[in-house]
Amino acid sequence: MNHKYVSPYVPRLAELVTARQLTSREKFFEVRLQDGSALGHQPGQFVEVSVFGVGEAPISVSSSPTSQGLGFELCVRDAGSVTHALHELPEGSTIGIRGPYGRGFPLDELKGNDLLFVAGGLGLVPMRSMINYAVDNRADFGRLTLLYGSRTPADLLFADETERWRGTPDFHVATTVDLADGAWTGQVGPITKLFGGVAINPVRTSALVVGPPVMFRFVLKSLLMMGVYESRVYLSLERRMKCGVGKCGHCQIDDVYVCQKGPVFPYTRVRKLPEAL
Amino acid sequence: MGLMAIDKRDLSAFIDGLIPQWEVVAPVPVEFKYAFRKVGSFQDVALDYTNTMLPPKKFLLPQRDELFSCNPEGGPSLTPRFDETPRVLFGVHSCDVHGIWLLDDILAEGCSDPHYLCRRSNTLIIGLDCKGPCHDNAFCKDMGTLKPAGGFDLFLTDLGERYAVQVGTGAGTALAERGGFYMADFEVREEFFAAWQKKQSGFPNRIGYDTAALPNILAESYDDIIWEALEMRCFDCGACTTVCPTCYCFDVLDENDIGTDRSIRYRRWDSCQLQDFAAVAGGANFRGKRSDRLRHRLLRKGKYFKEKFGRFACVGCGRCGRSCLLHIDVRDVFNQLKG
Amino acid sequence: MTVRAGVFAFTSCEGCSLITLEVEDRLLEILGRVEFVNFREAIDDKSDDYDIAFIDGAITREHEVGELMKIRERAAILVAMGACAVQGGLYFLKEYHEPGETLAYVYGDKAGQFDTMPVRPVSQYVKVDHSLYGCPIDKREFVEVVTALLSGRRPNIPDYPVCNECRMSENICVFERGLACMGPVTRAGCGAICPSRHVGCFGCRGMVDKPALDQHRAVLTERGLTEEEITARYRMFNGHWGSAHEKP
Repeated sequence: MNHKYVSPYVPRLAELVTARQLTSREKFFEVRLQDGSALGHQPGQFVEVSVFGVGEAPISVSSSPTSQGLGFELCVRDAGSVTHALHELPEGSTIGIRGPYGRGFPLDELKGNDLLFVAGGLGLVPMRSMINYAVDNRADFGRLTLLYGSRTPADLLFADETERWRGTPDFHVATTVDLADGAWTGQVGPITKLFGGVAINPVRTSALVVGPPVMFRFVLKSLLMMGVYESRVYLSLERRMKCGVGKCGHCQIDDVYVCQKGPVFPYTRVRKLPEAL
Repeated sequence: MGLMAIDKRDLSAFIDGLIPQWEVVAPVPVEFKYAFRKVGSFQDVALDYTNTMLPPKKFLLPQRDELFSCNPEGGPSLTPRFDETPRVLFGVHSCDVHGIWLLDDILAEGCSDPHYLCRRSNTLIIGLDCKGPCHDNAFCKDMGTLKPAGGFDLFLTDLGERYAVQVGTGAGTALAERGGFYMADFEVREEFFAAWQKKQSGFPNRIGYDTAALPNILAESYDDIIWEALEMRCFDCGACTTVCPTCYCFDVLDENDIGTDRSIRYRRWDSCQLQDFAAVAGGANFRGKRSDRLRHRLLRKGKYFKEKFGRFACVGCGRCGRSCLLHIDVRDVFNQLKG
Repeated sequence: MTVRAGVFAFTSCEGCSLITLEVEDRLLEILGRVEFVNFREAIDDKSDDYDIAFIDGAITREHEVGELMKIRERAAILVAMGACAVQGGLYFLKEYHEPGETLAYVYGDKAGQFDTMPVRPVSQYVKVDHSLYGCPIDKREFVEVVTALLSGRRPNIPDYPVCNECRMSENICVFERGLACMGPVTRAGCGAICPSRHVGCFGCRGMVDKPALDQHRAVLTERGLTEEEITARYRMFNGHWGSAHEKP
């Protein structure tokens, strides 16, 4: 039907090209839009993923727009009805994609700076899009540092890739886990424990923080204590973005729709929103 | 736009003349209350009604609103759903016209909502002035909604033997060309002005200060103890948002057809007052406290939209206060915040 | 895809079992997808090979416990169906009498021939995957649970009070009619069926996960109900919930 109205709630069709188990709870997907177009996203943005007949859920894009693949990548935890159904889908299935939505990391403001990535748990998923963007545009950024905290060694995401980043020139990677097993020889404890071991130049560092809500306060404190400028700290906030287009109300923090003004916010903005942290 | 008039004896023929072409919706009595319903004849309309249980938004943003259907065969293929029923909302009071007017702005802003806009563009709104305060908790005068300022095609004010008719849009002008209407002469204008003055003086102020100060008062009350005090009177039932003319938040769900594997994605009214409204799949609930939810609602009503659109997202109809079993009344809260 | 299902009745009137056949226009479609292989009220077969088990009724007798556990072992998905299975239903009222008193009242001098034990919901003994609430269950909700399970999604069952549905339906609040109502603490999903017919909600669907009990008590007290009347209202369908939470 040729209609004068185009609904932003109707997704584009996409193919689940590959599906791979990443950990016991997370699965990795490569997705390609059926019309062959690129997603056209910025690192840090999200899409609304539809499993038809089940529902829709907001998912961060995990690949960088600079990635060579034909599609884009998602990493999804089996946490609800839609994500569970997504885990069950065989490769080649058709899903729906809306977006990309929201504001990602402010690439222009980050250019020329050292970048400190602080990722807790699933926070590495959206962070990966920014990390790979920086690696692929290595000359645009100064020193790169990733601090990554996970629950257990078995929960660590993208282990191969983390190693590859470690081998990238001037890229320092440190990981820690909350609960170690026998084989783990690395750091144990909260992510803030990693801050003591990093040498950063606070006046030229931009800090990007993605993680569970409980992590933010401690990490912010550590960053500010290290001398990182408040105006150069960026946080990605998790909310229930049901519609993605600033209407349904679920993601609202005070008067701000996260799907419109976020999920990546400068700390100076978040500080003025009492409901944010 | 212009002022016209229609004699009372001609109104019936005008409305009945619309019914073959439009679905005409108007207030009808339901026992001792009123509701907007589809009517079959002008005789069904309650002209002297008081505030309906639900506002007329239900005809623009229905409780269940199908967004698209999905047929999995050979595709899948997705078909968007748009409701293009030509509709007239007749008899809408000024407060509710203000409610619709605000929804018009909200749903057109940014990424506009075509499901609403499609319905809205096929809907004509013929307002009707109320004559006096409908309930003792209504505070429309304080919220500046005693007379309409937009969002209507025609708006009728009772002048005794006839109605003065404000024409708000070109579509309203076209409606008025259907017969029975005539240009307002000097006498009609005089009477219309007198009726307005009478209405103004007939409505009391029920908020103890100029509501222009409301956004600031709410900002200063962010950490007020009042929000926690209100917790003791709230059930998380969402009645207040359901009956609100300006609430529009929704949930999005899929429904399956058992026989065919087809599914429908639809949205339905949701409420920021329900416990899980701001919960995410991982388990965190970002507005898990009842007091935070109550504050959020009041700030939306009295601050956020005023700052963004220049108008309050509260029209002062008092429906929320009347539908709350333990009498959480926006008007009372606004008054108490001033201290 | 089709699934094999069993409907099993324990202590109940089996009214909820029958509701599954009362879905009118949807029945043939459901029977096209759901093969009932064990259903006393509808078929003669008694197969032990099924994917979904619908449990109708409360558990009130020793032998029922063993049967229920066997069903749980065989079924991939177990659905507690109706107020008796979910909350113990009206049978739970027995718990407010001295042990043996109800048995003697009903069976007189033959009371000794019957065994009975404290009334418990199905969840007391086995893991329940989904619940269908109400006395009886709502047939639209039965269709929703079946279609959701077939589609691999979580059924959309509300966790907000009946008041919400009453306002949606433009019902006149039964409190305004001078009646008492359990709606403010009772799980919606019935379409406010009783208040829509000018009767206060009895709470048959059980309570929402986090009911506002103190607030509800305040409303009932304000409307002149005595403590005894309030307690009786709560006990009718929510006795088990009350005893599990030491309220009311």
